[in-house]
Order: sequence, then C-alpha cells, then structure tokens
Amino acid sequence: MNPVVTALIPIAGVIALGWGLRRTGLVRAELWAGVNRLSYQALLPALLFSTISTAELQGGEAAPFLIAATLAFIAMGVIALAFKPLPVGGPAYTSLFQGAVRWNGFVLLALAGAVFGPEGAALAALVFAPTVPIINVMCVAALTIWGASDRKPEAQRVAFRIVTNPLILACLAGAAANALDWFQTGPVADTAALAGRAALPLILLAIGAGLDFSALKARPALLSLSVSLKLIVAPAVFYGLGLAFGLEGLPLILITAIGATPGAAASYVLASEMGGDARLMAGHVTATTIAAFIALPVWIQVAGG
Amino acid sequence: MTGLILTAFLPIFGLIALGYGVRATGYLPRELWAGINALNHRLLLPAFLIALFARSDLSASGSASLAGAAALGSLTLIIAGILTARLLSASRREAASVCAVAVQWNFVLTLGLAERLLGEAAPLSAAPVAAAGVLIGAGFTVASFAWASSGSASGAVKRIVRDPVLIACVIGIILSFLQLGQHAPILVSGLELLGAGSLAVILVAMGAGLDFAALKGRIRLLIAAAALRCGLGALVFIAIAMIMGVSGDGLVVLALAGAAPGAAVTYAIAADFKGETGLVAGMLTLSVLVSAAVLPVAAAFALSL
Repeated sequence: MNPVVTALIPIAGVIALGWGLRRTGLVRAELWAGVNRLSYQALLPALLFSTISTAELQGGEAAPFLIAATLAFIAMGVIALAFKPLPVGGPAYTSLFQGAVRWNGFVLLALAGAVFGPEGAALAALVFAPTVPIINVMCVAALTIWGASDRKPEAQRVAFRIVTNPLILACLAGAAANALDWFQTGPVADTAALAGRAALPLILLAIGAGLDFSALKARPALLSLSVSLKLIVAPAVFYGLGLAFGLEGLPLILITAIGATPGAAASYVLASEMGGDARLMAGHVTATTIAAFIALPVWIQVAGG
Repeated sequence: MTGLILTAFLPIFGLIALGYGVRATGYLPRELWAGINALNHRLLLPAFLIALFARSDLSASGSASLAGAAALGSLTLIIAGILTARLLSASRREAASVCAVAVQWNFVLTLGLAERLLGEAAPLSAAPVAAAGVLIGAGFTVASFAWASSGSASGAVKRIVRDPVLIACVIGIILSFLQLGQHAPILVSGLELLGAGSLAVILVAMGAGLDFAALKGRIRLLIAAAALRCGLGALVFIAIAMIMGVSGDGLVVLALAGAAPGAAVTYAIAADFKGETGLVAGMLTLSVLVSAAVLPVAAAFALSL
C-alpha cells in the first residue's frame, strides 16, 4: 500500500474516534474545551520546540522553503480577494476568505513524521513560525472589514495575542535552541519530547470532535467553491511557488502538501467571534477534513513525480 | 546508575509538575480538566492498555511468573488495606479509599519509567505485570467503591463489567493471545498513535489532580494509604519477585509497580460512585510525593541485583 495512505489511515481513524466520542456523548461537546486548550497551549508548543530544536536542518534548504510557503499563503489571500465581487454577503465572503487561506498543519505534522521522518516533521513544524501571524492578520483584517460584528478588534490586542502566541514562541525558541545547540539532550529535551508525543493524538481527536456534518448543507455552492479553493487551487499555488523557488524532493512535496491540508478549526472560532458565517465555516472544515484524505495523497504523488 | 535514574525520572516527574503548574497558575483552570479526565478514563487509558497488550506476547515464557508475582502482590496489598482500615476504625467509604489507593498502582507512570530505564524491551516485562495489576486493581477498586456506595454486590458487578479500563484490559489480553499486533499491525496502528500520546496526557492530568489542600485532616488515613501503596508495595512486590525467581527487567518492572504512586483513575472512579473524592485526592497527592523518594531507591535496588 502507498506509504502516504498507510500513514493516513490511523490519522483518519483517530479523527473518526474523536467524532464518535463527541457524537455518542462519551465525551460531551462542552468537555472538549479543556482538551483543546491543553493541546494548543501546552502540548503542541512542546512538540514544535522538540521537533525544531533537534532537527538537522541546513539553513540553505529551509530558507527558500519557508519564503515560498509564506508567499503562497499571501498569494491565496490575493486569490480569495478576487472572489469579492461574487454576489454573497460580507459574512459569507469572510468565511470563503478564511477557507482559502487557513490551513490545518496538525494533520500534516502527523503525516510528515510518519512518512518523511524527522526532517519532514521539522520542515512542517517550521512553517508555523512565519505563517501563523500572517494568516491571522489577513483573516482578522477580512473579518474586520466584511464581518457582521459591531465589535471591532483593537489592533494592540490582536498584536499582543500574535506576539504571545505559544506556537510562534515555541517555534522561535526551538530555532534558537537549534542554532545555539542547546537542549539537544537532557531533562528539558526529554520532557518536551515526551509532552510533544501527546499533542497530535489529542489534536486529531479534537478535530474529529469538531466535525459537523449537518453544516455541509449550508450554502452548497459557496461551500463547493471554498473546498475547491482549499484543496485544488491552494496545492497548485504552493506547488508552483515551490518550483519557482527551486525546491525539489522532500521540500517540494511538503510545500505542496501544506496547500492540500484541510481547513483549520480555528477559523470557526474566529468566524463566530467576529461576525463571519460560522455555519459555512463549520461546513468547510468538515468537508475539507474528509476530502483532504483524497487530496493529500494525490498532491503528494504529483509533487513527488 | 545515578545518571540513568535521574535521566529516567526527571522527565516523568517533570510532566507531573507541568500538569500541576498549568492548573495551579490558572493557565488551564480546574473546570477545563473534566474533559481531559473523561478522555483519559474513557479513551486514552483504554487505548494505552490495548496497544500495550496487543503488541506484546502474553503467552511468551516468563509472562506467567511476572503476572503471578503482580497478582500476589496486589492481593497482599488488598488484605493489608482491609486490615489497616479496620485498625484505624475507618468507615466503609474511607476503607474503600484506603484499599483502592493501596492496590491500584499507576501503571502508566510505571511503564513510562520502565521504558526509560530498560528501553524498547520494557513492554515485554511490563505487559504481564500490568495485565494482572489492572485486572485486580481496577476490578477491586470499582467493586469496593460500588460496595461502599450501595452495599450491593450486584451493583458492583454491573459496574465492573462496564468499566472502560477493565474492558480494554480484557480486549488487549485477547488481542495479545491472538497476536493481532504482529499479524495485522495496521489494525492497531491507530491505537498505537493514541497510546503513544496518552502517556504524557495521563501524567500531565495526574499533576493537575495534585491537591495539596486535601492533605489536611484525616492524616492517619492519608499516611496509611501512601505507606501501603509506595512503602509496603515496594517491599512486597520485590520480595515476591525474588521468592518466585524473577530477575532482570521483570524484577525492575515489579519494583517500579510496587513503589509507584496510586493511579489517578482512582479519583475518577471515586467520583463516579460519589465516594470520598477529597480523601482520595489527598491520598493520591501524598502517594506521588512519597513515590518520588521511594521509586528511585526501589529502581536502583532492582537494577543492582
């Protein structure tokens, strides 16, 4: 069996298990807030720190990869802006915008480690540092302009939240530790590695728990467009920019796979808080999570030649 | 050897400290831990056990003596717990707490330490020890809390057959004898993904459950439970292992099991039966503190033989 498909099966299984736990009430919907918080605020930063700090990366290889990935997210923002003239309301458009630019890196982190080894996992982890702030700024700006909420965010508060984002801090700390050759072994490295091992299973379960199949019925035409932007246009853009920056081999495969990842659950939270179309966003996250299990192996095959 | 012990113990207790820290500082408030604890009891711990047993061969030579030693040790602690509770004139609910904490050792922490001390061979010895320990420990704990809350034997039996940890234990043991992990690894790969992460989540949750305020009052019961669990437990498990001729990795695992703190799941079971949760929290907290001192000594002793 194709190794990507083999690696995706347990990932899909854990996501399905999360959905089943929530759906059957074994772990009720309101109880997932703690799981999410522990994953995003403590375990995932530990995983990013551990992966990046111990990675054997060549700066010359990582730099064009990161630049190309960052530019690809900006390009997706520009492409999404081209759809603004569509006859849809502002809130629905913000969900289309978020759907086009937000990515769920955790599915890729789980996949990259299993299929491409430590180097793949490290490259996938590094992408979080430059892209988390850029994506958040783009989405908050879109929601501020076109969202239905009267409550506009304060620039200072948004900036503070981005600067203190644990994922960004963990990436930066990991890169610094890698460069300075600190915490390669010893209790800090071991504790971070042990904590990090728990991040992906928990996040995958939480992704499953957040799936909402009833939301697939909301605005089917717009939903089809947002899913197409995410899983057809985005991978093509990422692949094209990867080629333009001279990437080949593993970095080219990974940058293409970033484009083919599903939508992020965080986009639903932001849509709910800032006047986006939260139901459309829930449908987008659910549809792309399912469809990504077809898109990812296909696009990885395309990029791997 | 000191270096080996420190390397093994610091990350494990580091995670427990991390859990305590994120809860005590309010970074992850107490109310959000309910979901994580539910996930632990209903999914992660069962997945951990099934994955452990499914990839082990419980029919291998030597497994029976390891399981036998663990079973004898557990039964000895049950008897010691009952006698101690009578000696201290404990109520029915207090007696159930003393016996449950004494008999149900923390097998997740034990396996985590065993893996760090013994390497990849650890599950071979840990699986039979855990199989006997979980069946007796969890079975007795559920029965004693059910009996203390209702006084009904049939109620206790009903709860035992529905307990997720016990169900997982039985499923895992069956899978081990069918050698499903070897014949169809893809079927257990999802569980292994969950199992790999569950160790850290369970340790972090254990730290979050530490309650130093619960150490006040009923101090004799608290000390008795912690002394039975970590002090008498270590002596009994090591002595039985030596009498039965168990040596090497098996002896180390049994020493760790004997000196381990009480299982955090005891609190969840006590809460399910509306038992003495405050008392159990205090007993578990004290057992963690005592085990931090006793475990390294027990491990060093077993490794030196």
